[in-house]
Amino acid sequence: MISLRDLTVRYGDTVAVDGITLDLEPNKIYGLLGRNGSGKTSLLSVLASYRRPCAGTVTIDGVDPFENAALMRATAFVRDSLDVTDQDRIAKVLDFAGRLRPTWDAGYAEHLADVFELDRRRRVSALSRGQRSSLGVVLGLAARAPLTILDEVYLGMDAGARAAFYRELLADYLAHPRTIILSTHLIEEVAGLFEQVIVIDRGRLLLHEDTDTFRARGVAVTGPAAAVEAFAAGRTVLGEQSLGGVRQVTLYGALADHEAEAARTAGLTLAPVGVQDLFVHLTAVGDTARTEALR
Amino acid sequence: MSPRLLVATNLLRIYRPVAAWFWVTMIVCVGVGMTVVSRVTDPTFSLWLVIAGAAAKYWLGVVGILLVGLHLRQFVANGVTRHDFLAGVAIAGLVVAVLFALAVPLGHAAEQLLLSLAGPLPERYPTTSPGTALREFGHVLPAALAFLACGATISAGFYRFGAWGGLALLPVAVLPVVAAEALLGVDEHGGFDVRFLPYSAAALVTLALTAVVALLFHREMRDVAIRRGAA
Repeated sequence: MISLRDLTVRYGDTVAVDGITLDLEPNKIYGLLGRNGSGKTSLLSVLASYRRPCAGTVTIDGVDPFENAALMRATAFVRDSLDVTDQDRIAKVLDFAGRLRPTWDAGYAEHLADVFELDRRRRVSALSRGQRSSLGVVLGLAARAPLTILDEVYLGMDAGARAAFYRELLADYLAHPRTIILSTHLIEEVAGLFEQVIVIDRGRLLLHEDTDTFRARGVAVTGPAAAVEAFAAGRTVLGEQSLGGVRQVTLYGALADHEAEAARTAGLTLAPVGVQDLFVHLTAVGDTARTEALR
Repeated sequence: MSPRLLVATNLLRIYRPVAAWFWVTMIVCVGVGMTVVSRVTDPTFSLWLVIAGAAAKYWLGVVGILLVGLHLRQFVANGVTRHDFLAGVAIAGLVVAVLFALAVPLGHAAEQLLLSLAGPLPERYPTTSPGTALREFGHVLPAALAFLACGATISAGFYRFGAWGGLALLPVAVLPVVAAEALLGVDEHGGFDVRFLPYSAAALVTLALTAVVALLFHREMRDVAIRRGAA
């Protein structure tokens, strides 16, 4: 179990992570969502022992992972910038990881390199943005680390490479269950992989729940403007749109059976909201009051 | 294998081809240089001692500078703690410093052998012997360690504290090199002499300052945040 308690990361006067408390059960795939600058990478850096928190604690099974040889060895953190030497060839990068990581699966690394069509003789500096990301995926997955953290590793990947990434990630996770944290902006594409969703906004935890529960929290209600307004009264409205006399509101919070029935009776249409839409509504810029209400 | 030995062996593996190129370059440069000098005049100095004796320690200084910016994140990203990285750096650094310090008297002996094969040794050529070989080794080793520690500490200062912090630490970080250059210098014939202090005191001062700066390096790096890209 990974436990964060009042975790805070500051850079001078800037608070990147603001008192986050969170528990992550092992062997699940987590989606870490947040807008640019919301503190995702800072949070992940602390989890991976890349930096110390300014305040608060991180423990993995009750132990502080910072400078703990066993726990750091059991963690793979792949950043979008890749922590490799640009002048090295891909073969050397993979060989280096294999020498240092006890859980490294060289055969799987070769397989992934084939899947992403990475030429082992090419230098990292000669790779395109998407190929660098593919190399990051190879390093992250072939490490088979019990805690695998992938921070926006899809950058620059084309649709085919991204699809291969999702396919390989899921297949390898099913074969070798472990805790995987994926930070991404391509929410709708990856949402199917997440077992739990963590949303942070302006350094603070907005919500953390099962993906299914998260999906159920949003419902789009469409119908005559007056009926929609009457139904939405007293509920948390994440967004609204109007076209002529028709109005659509996105409500936050699951509807009970009798509420859903009442809506249908009133001539309203209920529809699920995508994870990405829900995320966009929850983290909309300039609506601090709404996000504060959700915390 | 322990993590620190793993770091040390991998660092040695990384720098093995670089060091090989360095020594090949030294041998070629000194070989060509000494051939030219010998044809023009009787050499009164050892070109090997002048060039390789100095370059060996400078090379270690450069490696020290590269260690943090180039390799720290590379090892941490593969699950190595900072502590084990620093211990591995110390082991690898000591091994390389000893090997480089050995290469200087060995090269000097080889140079003398080649000169003697070409004819009688020039009268004022600084001949080598077991005693002088030991003295050369004893001069190069503390100087090489001083340069390595200095380079690593300077780059660690900039890595951790940024430009101004790195500059502020610079005067402290260069102390071992200042001591090594001042107390264990090279004379105009490429020979090693002692100045101001007897050898044992000079070596002790240099090694003590190197230890202090190495401690500063450890303090800078023991909980440093891992930056993106080369710093």
